[in-house]
Amino acid sequence: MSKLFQQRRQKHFLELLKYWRLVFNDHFVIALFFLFGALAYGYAQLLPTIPANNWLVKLVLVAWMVVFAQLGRLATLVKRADPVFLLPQTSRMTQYFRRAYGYSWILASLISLVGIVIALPLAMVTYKMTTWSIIAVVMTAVLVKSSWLNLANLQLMVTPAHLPGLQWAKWLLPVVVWLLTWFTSPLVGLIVAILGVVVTWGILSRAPAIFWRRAVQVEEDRMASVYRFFNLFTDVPNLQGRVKRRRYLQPLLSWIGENSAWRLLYGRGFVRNPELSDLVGRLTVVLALILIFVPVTWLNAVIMALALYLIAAQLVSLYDLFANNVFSYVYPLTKQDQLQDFQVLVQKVMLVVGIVLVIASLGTHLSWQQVLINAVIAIVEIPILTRRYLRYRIHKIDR
Amino acid sequence: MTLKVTDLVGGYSQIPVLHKVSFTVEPGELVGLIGLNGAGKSTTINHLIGLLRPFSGTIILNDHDLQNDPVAYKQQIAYVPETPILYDELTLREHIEVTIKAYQLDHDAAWQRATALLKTFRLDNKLDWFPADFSKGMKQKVMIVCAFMTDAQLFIVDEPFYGLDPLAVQDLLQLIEQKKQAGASILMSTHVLDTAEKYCDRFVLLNDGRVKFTGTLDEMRQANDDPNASLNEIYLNIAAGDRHE
Repeated sequence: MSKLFQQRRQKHFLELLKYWRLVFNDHFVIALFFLFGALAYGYAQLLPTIPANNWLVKLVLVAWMVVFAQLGRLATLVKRADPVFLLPQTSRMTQYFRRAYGYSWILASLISLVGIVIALPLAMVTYKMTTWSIIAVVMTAVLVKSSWLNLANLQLMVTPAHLPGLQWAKWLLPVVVWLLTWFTSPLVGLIVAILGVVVTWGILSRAPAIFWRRAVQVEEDRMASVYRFFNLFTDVPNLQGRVKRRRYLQPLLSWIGENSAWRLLYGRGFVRNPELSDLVGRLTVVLALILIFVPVTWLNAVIMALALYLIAAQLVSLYDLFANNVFSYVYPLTKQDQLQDFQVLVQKVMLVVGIVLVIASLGTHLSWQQVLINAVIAIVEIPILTRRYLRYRIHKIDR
Repeated sequence: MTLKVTDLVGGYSQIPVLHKVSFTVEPGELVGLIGLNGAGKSTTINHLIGLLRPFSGTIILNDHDLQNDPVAYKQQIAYVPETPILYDELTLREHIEVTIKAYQLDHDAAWQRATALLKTFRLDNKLDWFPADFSKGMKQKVMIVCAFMTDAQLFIVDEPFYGLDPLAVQDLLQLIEQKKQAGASILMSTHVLDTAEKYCDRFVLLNDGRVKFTGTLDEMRQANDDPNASLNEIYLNIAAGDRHE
């Protein structure tokens, strides 16, 4: 059985590798690097201004570590057909799931380490941290994640009535541990984290066999979110968003326009296909938040310019949403018609995005100067993106 | 007023599937495109709707060449695919709207025709549903409505009978008859030979990417030296001959 997991892990790796290669093959990534660079710089600029021993900063640290504890899920790699084909092996599946746990633990620990590494500079500004307390904090991060994975594992085994309790525990445990760590001492946090691991292990070792159906569901959800991540960069065939009606967006559809076939198709395609519209919505909100909280004028302007590019780049993928439908070729319409109507859609969406981002750049510091600068950037950049850049990208698609 | 296919050589990749296929479809005529699986029926249709580019040969409809004047050519054809193909994001009403806009039909007149068709196929109370959630037969009806509401000169209908209930088959045949009366032509590929025998005016029999025979049922019988043979028998005969080759 552990061989089965090994085979699946290899296949899983190959699949992920295929996608990662595509991710690092796009200038979208370069823009992201810039964005991360800008954020890192902003973080570095911010550090000296933070007062020592501030309880608000400690709360931020707690929140940060608790959120990071939720990242990195239990990857069982079970498949929909497993309950049918592996049912006779249920008792021997323990080996399989032990391997799965080990694999998930390594990945999850790495993610937790990244979280703590990002948090440490901030922590060191607030505290006087000795080498020992740094080691304690790093160990705590890994241990908290281990108990979290134990709880996630338990969730595949308990009766449905216990599920909400475990879900709470997955948040509560990190909250308690990190509150103790940052508000009393790292040593206390470490001790509680060790206790957490011991207790969850104890329960886990006496737990019944897993519920197949739930395990399959959880794994499919996990893979869906992995695919959603890759879908930011490239087209993932396994991912099909369910179409949503969204009657409340009818005014938006009318504004986009419905007086030509392609305009009508692209409008509906964008609004009702949740894959892209949700992504554009999320990106806009996140980038608006960043603009609100970055006080450095030039940095804010750079982020504005990058934000517009990032969102426009995502919109390009809408162009061939209907390429698999034969009627896109049967209708007596030219490529030129299609391109023009697509451009109109992108222009209108970018206009809304631009307005939201410009308003957001007023920020917590109420800088009208920033609003003016960012508005000028939008006015110059959006036409370039929706004309030259769009034509360039679509030319590449059509070829 | 004719569809004229001349020496069409074509296929999906470098290797030709069709070899010098030639035939015509006259106005007011229902032509049955028949042949075994893999004979090249769908490939021919894919060329006729402009999905594939011919290696050589021409496809001309009423003096409009598909190659040089695709928009005017496509303006005159309507297509019912073998398996229903719908836009997931569009309701039934919006499918009809898109058709009107794509063919630049007169809005009110087109809606009038569409409403009548929707009533015939019992879809008139489902205008605000997403056809993507319909059953196979209902989806097929949507395709038929969207094609037959246009004022196309040539209707290309690929294997339309599967999945339709007997009543809908009857309605479709009536619809085809009406279009014929109005002077339009229909090219229909099918395996349902007893229906084809009754309704088609002429046949184009494809075999291995070549036109093996064109003509009426009587001409086919003569060629087979069997004046009473059904289309089914003639077809089986050819198929059997093929297997022995």
